[in-house]
Amino acid sequence: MNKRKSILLLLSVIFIIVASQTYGAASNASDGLPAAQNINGRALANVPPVDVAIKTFQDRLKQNPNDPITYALLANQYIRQARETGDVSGYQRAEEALNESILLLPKYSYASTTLASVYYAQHDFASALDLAQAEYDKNSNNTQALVIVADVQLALGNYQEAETIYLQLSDLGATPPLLARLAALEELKGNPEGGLTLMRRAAGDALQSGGTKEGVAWYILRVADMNFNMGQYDQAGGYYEAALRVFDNYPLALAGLGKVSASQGRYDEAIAYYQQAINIVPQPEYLAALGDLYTITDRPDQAQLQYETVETIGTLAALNEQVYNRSLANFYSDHDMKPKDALRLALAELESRKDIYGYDAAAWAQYKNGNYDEAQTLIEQAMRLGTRDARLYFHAGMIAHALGQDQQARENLEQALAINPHFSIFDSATARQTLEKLQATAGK
Amino acid sequence: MKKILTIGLYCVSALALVFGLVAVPTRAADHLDAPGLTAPGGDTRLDITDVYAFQSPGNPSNTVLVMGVNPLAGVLNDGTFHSGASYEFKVDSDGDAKEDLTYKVTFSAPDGSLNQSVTLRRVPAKGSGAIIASGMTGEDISIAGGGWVRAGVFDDPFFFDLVGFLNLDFCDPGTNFFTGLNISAIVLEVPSSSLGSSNVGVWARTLFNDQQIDRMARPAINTVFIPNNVFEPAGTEKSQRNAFNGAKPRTDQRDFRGEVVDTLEIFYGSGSATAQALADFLLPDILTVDTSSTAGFPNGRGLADDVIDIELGLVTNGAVTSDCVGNDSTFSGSFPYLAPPN
Repeated sequence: MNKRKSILLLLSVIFIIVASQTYGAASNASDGLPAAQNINGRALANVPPVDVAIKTFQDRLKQNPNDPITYALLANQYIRQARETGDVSGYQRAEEALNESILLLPKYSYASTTLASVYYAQHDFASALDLAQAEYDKNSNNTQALVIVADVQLALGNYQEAETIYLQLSDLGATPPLLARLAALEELKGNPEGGLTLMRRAAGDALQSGGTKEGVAWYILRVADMNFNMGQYDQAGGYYEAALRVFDNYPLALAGLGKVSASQGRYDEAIAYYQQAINIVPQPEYLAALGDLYTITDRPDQAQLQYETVETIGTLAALNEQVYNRSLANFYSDHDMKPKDALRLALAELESRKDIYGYDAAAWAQYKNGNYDEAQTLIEQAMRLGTRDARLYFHAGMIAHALGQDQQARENLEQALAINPHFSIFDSATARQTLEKLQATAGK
Repeated sequence: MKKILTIGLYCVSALALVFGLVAVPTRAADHLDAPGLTAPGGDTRLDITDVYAFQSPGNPSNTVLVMGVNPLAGVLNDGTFHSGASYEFKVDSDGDAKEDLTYKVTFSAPDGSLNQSVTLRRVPAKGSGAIIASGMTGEDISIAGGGWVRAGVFDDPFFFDLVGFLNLDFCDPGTNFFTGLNISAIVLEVPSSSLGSSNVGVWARTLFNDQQIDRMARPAINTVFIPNNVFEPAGTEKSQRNAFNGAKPRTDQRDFRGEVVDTLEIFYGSGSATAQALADFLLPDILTVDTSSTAGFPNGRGLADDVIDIELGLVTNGAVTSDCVGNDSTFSGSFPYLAPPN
């Protein structure tokens, strides 16, 4: 009897140990995000092609042109079309449809809130803020309007205001969309590890809670982006591939894989990824990266073609200029092209919003124009949150170098390479060469 | 009339909730291009549109249960069912608002042609139950013990002048917003004797990762009565809609009766005994069915029942009695009864 009891006791101790170990293993991965290779997203929802939905809603409006709901539904499909194709004119069509909807039904808050998000997508931040705030003031249950207010504040560089709202909203429920925003804030505030932890949790929760393939793939993509920005290329590659498995032909993930391949010197592979991404959505950043890859593999004609397309897209229409002016300024600066245009674009953008990347674009353009003191004042503003972004440190290092501040230059360039050794196809090499020169000088 | 005007205006904010699920994430070109606040849990496959329960038109000894999901099927979603979720019909046969029987439907992941395997389990109050039917979507599957189950895309049987409602102009001339739209539905026909009683309560729910995502019985209970509802000034109360969707009928009286009474008192006056009685009729949110009767809503709900007209009259104390829209679907007299997709 005693023997039986002691066996039972022993068994229960073993059970407790095993159970606690199992539990311990589970809690180590408590963010719920599976290893990249185990993600497939097969249970997530497919969405029919955008053209099908647009035609359906257009046909409905032919039958009943006084239907504000269908106008709003159509607007959402135009937004989706703009996102899927990169053709920003979709936002204008969305705006028109939403204005029709609101004209038919002025109190239709869903249409007004969607319109605020369209203003935001068009980088008309003042209109987005006014409208979203007005909608939230009318109805404090309209949290979608409130999150647009916060997103606009973030885009404008009013980080404290944005954070206050995100935290207020996450008190109602720390859902993946809010966790993703808080993660981005941590990244901005110089805490990439904390940001990654939050983002992994957001992605794990998103996978757990279902939804559309594209919607969930975005969260996994952001985990990969954060890994990449921290120089964790294998993890980044794994999660970009996972995002691609979840959502076929996801252009953001294809471009991410291009970035990872380029960082590891696999240029032909990188070129193939970027070509695939550009075939789906010709984003100026992808075209610029593809041009750089052609340059580094000694194909200047093909590079030139990509660079010209960047300019074409950036200046195609007034709305393109509004949406892509910062990208274009950075593109010019990065490629030692049109420094005066770069500066004009960057300073105009800084007038309308004073976020850290606006200061960075202006600083980099000033540097390329030889205005090093102005550049330094601006880059200090860009680094005011302590963001651990290799590109910011690289710019700060090069500016300090131009001003003869060797120690500061060395420290910044070392930081840039420590954070993300392959942050850019060309600039990482420039950082390394400049640093070697500085170290040689210091050694003399 | 002024009161009605006010009501109409507040309905606008409710529509954001009705269509909140279809919000497409907007992306700006910058770093934080996060999707809209609608969480991925806002999965249309788990969003119950309507629940019906009626005596089989072809066989009076059978009862038909229908659960619709996937609003705007084929346009905003591909019309498939969630392979990780379960879709459940709950049946209460003794009036205690607890299920005595569950018909649980699960699906495989869709193949390249969007076909899915369908598994139906009959689960008693205690125990794990047994598989009583299996087959493919888009097919009539016979059930061991009698009856049929079919899951697939159908014409949306719901009819309502949503736009007229928003325009505060119900009958000029009245247009069914849902004409030409599709849903996905599970249609189940079983011998009424297998339900445990001739008077049963029915509700449907969707379940994913052990979490109840949605539930429904009578039409529009959540939309009309649960804060922040259409009858209350926008933003005056914190939304309890998700709480209602995640709750069980057995706690409805405890948790939501006060809210239902609040809404009804707008029309029936403060302290109205009718408002109290109506609240007790409406909660728990269960569709009660006398399976021996062919009468329609509020005895169960037939496909062609004009539930909106009945509810409008009930809720507004007769101030609004119709949206001037009737059924325009052509239902079949035989299984699966719903009209084919548009």
